Amino acid sequence: MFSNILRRLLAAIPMLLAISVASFLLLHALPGDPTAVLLGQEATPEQMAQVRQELGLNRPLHVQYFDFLGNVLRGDFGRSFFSGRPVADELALKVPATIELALAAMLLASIVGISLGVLAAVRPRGVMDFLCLGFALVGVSMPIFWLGFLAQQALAGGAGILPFGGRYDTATWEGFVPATGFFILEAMFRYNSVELTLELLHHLALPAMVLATVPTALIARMTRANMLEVLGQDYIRTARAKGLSTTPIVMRHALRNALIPVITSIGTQFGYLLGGAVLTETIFSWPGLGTYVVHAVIILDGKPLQASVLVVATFFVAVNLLTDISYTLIDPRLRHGGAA
Amino acid sequence: MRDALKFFMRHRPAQVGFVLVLIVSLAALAAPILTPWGPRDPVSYEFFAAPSSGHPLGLDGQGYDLLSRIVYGARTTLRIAILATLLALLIGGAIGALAGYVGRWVDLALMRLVDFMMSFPSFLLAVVMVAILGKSLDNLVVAVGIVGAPQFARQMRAEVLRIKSMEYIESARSLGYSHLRILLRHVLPNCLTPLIVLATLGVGSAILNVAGLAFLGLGGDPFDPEWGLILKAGWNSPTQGAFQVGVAGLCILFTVLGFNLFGDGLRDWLDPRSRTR
Amino acid sequence: MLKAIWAVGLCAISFALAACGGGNSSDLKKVEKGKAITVLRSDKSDNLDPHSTSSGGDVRVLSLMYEHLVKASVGTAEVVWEKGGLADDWTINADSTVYTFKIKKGVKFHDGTDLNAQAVKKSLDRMVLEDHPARPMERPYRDSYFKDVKSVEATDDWTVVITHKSPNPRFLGTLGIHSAMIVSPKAIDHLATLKVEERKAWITSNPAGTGAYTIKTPADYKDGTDITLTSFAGFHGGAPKIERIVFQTQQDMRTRTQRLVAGDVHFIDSLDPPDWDSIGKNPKVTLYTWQGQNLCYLAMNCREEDGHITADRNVREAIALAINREPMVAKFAGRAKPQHVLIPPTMLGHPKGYKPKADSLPRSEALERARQLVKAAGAEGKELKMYLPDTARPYLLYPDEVANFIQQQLKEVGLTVVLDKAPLAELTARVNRGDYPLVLIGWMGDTGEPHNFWGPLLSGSDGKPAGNNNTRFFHLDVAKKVDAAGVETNRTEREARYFELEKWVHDEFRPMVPLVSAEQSYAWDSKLKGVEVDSTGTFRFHKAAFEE
Repeated sequence: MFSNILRRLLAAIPMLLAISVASFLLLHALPGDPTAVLLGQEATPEQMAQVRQELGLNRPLHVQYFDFLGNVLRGDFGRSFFSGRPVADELALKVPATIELALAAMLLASIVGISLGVLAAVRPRGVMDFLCLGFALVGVSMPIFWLGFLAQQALAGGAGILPFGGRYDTATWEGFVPATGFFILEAMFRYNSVELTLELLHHLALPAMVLATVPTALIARMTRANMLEVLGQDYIRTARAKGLSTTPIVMRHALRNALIPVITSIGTQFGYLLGGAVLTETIFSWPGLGTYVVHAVIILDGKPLQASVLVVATFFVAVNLLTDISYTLIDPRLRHGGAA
Repeated sequence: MRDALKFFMRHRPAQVGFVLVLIVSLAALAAPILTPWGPRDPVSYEFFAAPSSGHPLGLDGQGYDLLSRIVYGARTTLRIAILATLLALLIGGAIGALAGYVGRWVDLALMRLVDFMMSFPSFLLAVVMVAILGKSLDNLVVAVGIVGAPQFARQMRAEVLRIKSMEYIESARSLGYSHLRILLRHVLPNCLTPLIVLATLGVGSAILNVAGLAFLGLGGDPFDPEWGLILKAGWNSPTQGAFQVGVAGLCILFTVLGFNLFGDGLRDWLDPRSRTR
Repeated sequence: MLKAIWAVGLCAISFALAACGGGNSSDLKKVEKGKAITVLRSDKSDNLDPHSTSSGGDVRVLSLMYEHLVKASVGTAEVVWEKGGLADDWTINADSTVYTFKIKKGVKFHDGTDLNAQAVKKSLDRMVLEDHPARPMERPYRDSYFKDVKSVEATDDWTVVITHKSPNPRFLGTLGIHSAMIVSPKAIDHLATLKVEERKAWITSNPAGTGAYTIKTPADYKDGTDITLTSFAGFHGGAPKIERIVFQTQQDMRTRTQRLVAGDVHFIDSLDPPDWDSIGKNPKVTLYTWQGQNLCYLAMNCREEDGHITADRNVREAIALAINREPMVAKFAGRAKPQHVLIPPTMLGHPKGYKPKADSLPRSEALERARQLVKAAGAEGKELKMYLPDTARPYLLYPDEVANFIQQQLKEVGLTVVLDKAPLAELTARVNRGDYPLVLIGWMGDTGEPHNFWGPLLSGSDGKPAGNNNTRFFHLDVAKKVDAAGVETNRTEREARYFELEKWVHDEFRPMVPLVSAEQSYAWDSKLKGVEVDSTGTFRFHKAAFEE
C-alpha cells in the first residue's frame, strides 16, 4: 500500500515540473512589454534596456527558468508590474479567500446533493426523484453569473436579508488583522468572536449557494445513479426479502457503497471550484483568486497571472493526489497495486 | 435507425431538448427574416425603451432592437460554441486516435499531455488562453476549443482501443492495408457515435463558457450580438437594464438545457444499460 | 476517540494561527455605530504616491491623507485657490516669478514629524529636482507643471520661497494638484534608502501626510480595491468624528447604487444619470451633482512618423464632420453638454457659443462632405484602431456605448473603427509608441487654469508632444502661444489669448473632436451631514458626522 502511495507521489513530480515550465513560459507568451509599464512615460530606450537587464529579461531562457524555479521554491513570486507589490503577499490573502468559499460551496453541495440523490433513489419516479433529476439538469445548464444576478437582486436587493458582497463589513470591525486569509478560522480561534464569525458566514452564504449550484447538480445525479445501482444488487434484495425495512437498508448497506465514488468526485470537483469560482467571485466582489486572475488578465499583469496559474494547478494536482490516496485507503481492493 | 426513432418517440426529455435546439437553430438561421432590424441598426435614442408592438422586447441600452439582438445573438453564440466544440473534437480526436492506435510511448506521451491540460481548472485555463491570444470572439473559439479537447481525447482513445482489438481490424491488417487506411476507413468511422454524443453535450458547456468569458469582458467588441455580451450590457444600468439581463440569461439557460437534454437522450440510446431505467 | 481527534485538531489550528503572526484577539472591537463609513467608488487606488500618480481614483484617497499649501474653494463653479491649506499666507511678486509662503504652525505629520519650511522644501524638491534621491519611478506631472521652477528655498523655519525661471501666474493652481501634496521628510528619507521600484509600494501603505486620515497599519491597505483609513488624532483641524473610512471598489453602477440605497455603504460616486431624478427624491440619500471641469474627447493621431491615415488633416476633418454628439448626450440622459472646444464650460477661457466651422454644418451636409473628404484622401474602407478605457471614467460613464456610437458614425462615411479596450495605466506608453490613430478618452481639470488643458493635451516641449498629448499634435507656433497665454498675468488678456487659440487650432489643425462635458455625481447617506465637496470635486469627511 505504501509503495503504491509513494509511486503516486513520485509520478506527481514530473507533472509539477511541467506546470512550472508552462507558467514560466506564460509570462513570455503574454503580449505587451512589462518594462514599458514599469517605467511609464518618462522612459528612454536606455532606461528600458537597463530595466530589462535588471529584471534579467536578457538572459537565456533556461537560466531565467531555473532562477524562477528557485525563487518559487523559496516562496518568491516576484512583484506585480503595476502595483509593485510582492505577488506572494497578495496570494496569501486571495487564495485562502477562494478556498474558504470553495469549501463552503462544496460542503453545501455535498449535503444537499447527497440527500437529494438518496431521497430520489429510494422512491424512483416519485416527487423527490423528479425534483432531483430536474435540479440536476437545470443546475448544469445554468449560467452561473445570471443565477448570481438573480439571487443578488432577490435576496440582497429585494428582501435585504443577505449582503450584496464582500467578506465582512470592514467599516465596523477594527483590529481584525488576520494573518492568513482564512477569516472564519481566524475569527473563531484567534479572535474567539462569535459575532464576527456569524457576520463572515452571513456574507459567505450567498456566494457559496451560487457556487454550489453545479456541484450540487452533479453530486445529486451521481448519488442517485449509484444508489439505484446498489439498491438493485442481490444483497440488498436479499435484505429486503428478509423483511428489513427500507431506511436501515439504505443507511447501513447501500449508502456506504454508493458513496465511495461520489466522495472521490467531490475531491476533483473541489479542484475545479478553485478555478471555477471566477464568475461567482466577480459578481459578489469576493476578494479571491478568481477576481485577482481576471483583473490580471484585463490589465495583462504577467507576474500575478503566472503565480496564480502555478498555484491553482499545483493545488489541483495535490487535491487529486490526496483523493487518489484516500481512495486507496478506503477501498481495500485497490490496496494491492493493480490498475487505476 | 428505426430503433433510434422508436427510442426517441418514447423519450420525452430528448424530445423537449430536440425542440429547444431546433427553435434556437431555426431562429439563428432565419434571423434576417424574423426581424427587419440588423443587430447593429440604431433604431432611436430612447435607450431601454419598453416593449412595444414594433419592438416586442423593446430597445436595449444602445437604442438597438433587443429582439433582433437576441435572434442574431443566437447565431453568434451557436456559431462560436459549435466551432469551439468542433475544434475540441478535432484536436482531442486526433490526440486520442493517435494515442490509442499507435500505443507505446506515443500513447504515454500524449496521455501525459492530456493529464497535464486537465490539471488546470478548465474555465481558468480558458481565461488565461484569452490573455495570451487577445480579447476577441474568434479567440474565444480557440480558447474554449482547446480547453474542451482533453475529454474528447480520452473518449476517442478508449474507443480506438476497443475497436483495435476487434477481429476485422486484425484481418484488415493481414490483408496488408496501410495503417492510415485502417485508421481512417475502419477504426474512426466506428468510433464516431459516442463522440457525437459527447459533442452534443459539449456544445452546451461551450455556450456557458463562451457566455461566461464574454461576461467577464474578454469577448472583444462589447456590442457584437452575443448573449453573454448582451447580458453584460444590461447589467450596468441599475434600474433600466434588468429586463435585458433577464431575457439574455433565459436564452442561454434554455439553449444549454436543450443541448443537455438532447445529449442525455442520445447517450441513453447508446448505452442500453441506462435505457432500462 | 473522535473527541480527542477534534481537540487535537482545534489546538493545532489555534497554534498554527498564533504562529502566523497577525493581530491580537484583544484588539478586536466593533466600531461604534456612526463612527465608520464605507465609500464605494468606481475606481481603485493602486498608487498612493502623490508625486507619481495621475489617476483620479488615487487622488480621491490621497486628498483625505495629504494636504497642499493652498486650498480649493468650496461652493463655487470656478476653482479659486484660497488660504486654509498648509500655508497661512503668501505673496507673489509683480511678474509672478517669486512666490513666498508662510507655513502654518502646529501641524504634525502622521509619523509624528513637525511641519516646517524645511519639510515643505523637501517634499516639493521631490517633484522639482531632476534627479532626486527619493524620486518615484515616474512623475507624469513634472514636465507640464514643475519644470520651470528654478529653486525652492526655506529662508527660515516658516518661510518658503519658490523661484521660477519665467513668469508663472498659474502656479497657485499647480500647488493645488496632488503632485504638490506635502509628504513628511522622514518618509522621504526612508524612500531614498529603497530601490526605485519599491518606493511606490512602500509609501502606498505607509502614508505620511498631514491630513485628517491615514492608513494606520500597512495591513489596512489590502489592495487598491480595499483600503481602510483611520482618523489621525493629531490632525491640526481637530480630531474628526468619523473615525474610520473604508474605501471599496465596485465597477458597475448597478451595485453601487443598490448598496447605497440598501444602507450597506454610505458614499458612492458616478451614478447612472437616468437614475438621478429618482435617487434625488429618495429621502435616504443625498445626491450631489455639479458641472465638472472635464472634457471627453476623441484624439486623432496627427504625427506623420506614426504612419496613420489620421496624419492627413482632411481625414481628421472628415471624422470631425461625421461625429454626432446627440446620441452621446442622450445616453447621459441630458446630463452632459455637447462640447466643441477644448476648455469646458464654467472655466476661464471657454468661448461660450463658439463652434468650429465644421461643427456648424447641418448633419446631412456634414456627412456628404465627410464622405467626399474620405474618398479624396483614399481612406475609404480603411481600418482605424481606437483605444477606449476598460473602466468607466467620470467624464465617460459609458465607454463602450460612446465608442460604439463613434464606430457607427464613422462607418457611415466609409471608415472602419476597430476597438481596443485597455487599462488607462497602459494608455500613455502605447500612445507614445504611436499605436493608435484614435483615442477615446477625457481629461479632468484640477487647477482651474486653461493651461491645465492646453499644456498637457495639445502642446509639448522641446519639439515633442507632451506625455498626455494623445493627439501627438505638435506645432511650434501653437506651443509658443500656449506658453505665452500661460504666463500672461492679466486675467482678461489671458482669457482673450485662450479664445484666440480655440478659434485657430480646431479650424486650422483639427487634432481632436471634443465630445461632451459631463455632469458629475456623488451620493451619500442622508443622515451623514457635513460632507465637503470642493470645486475640484474632491470630497472630505473631517467635518462630517451622522445625525439622526
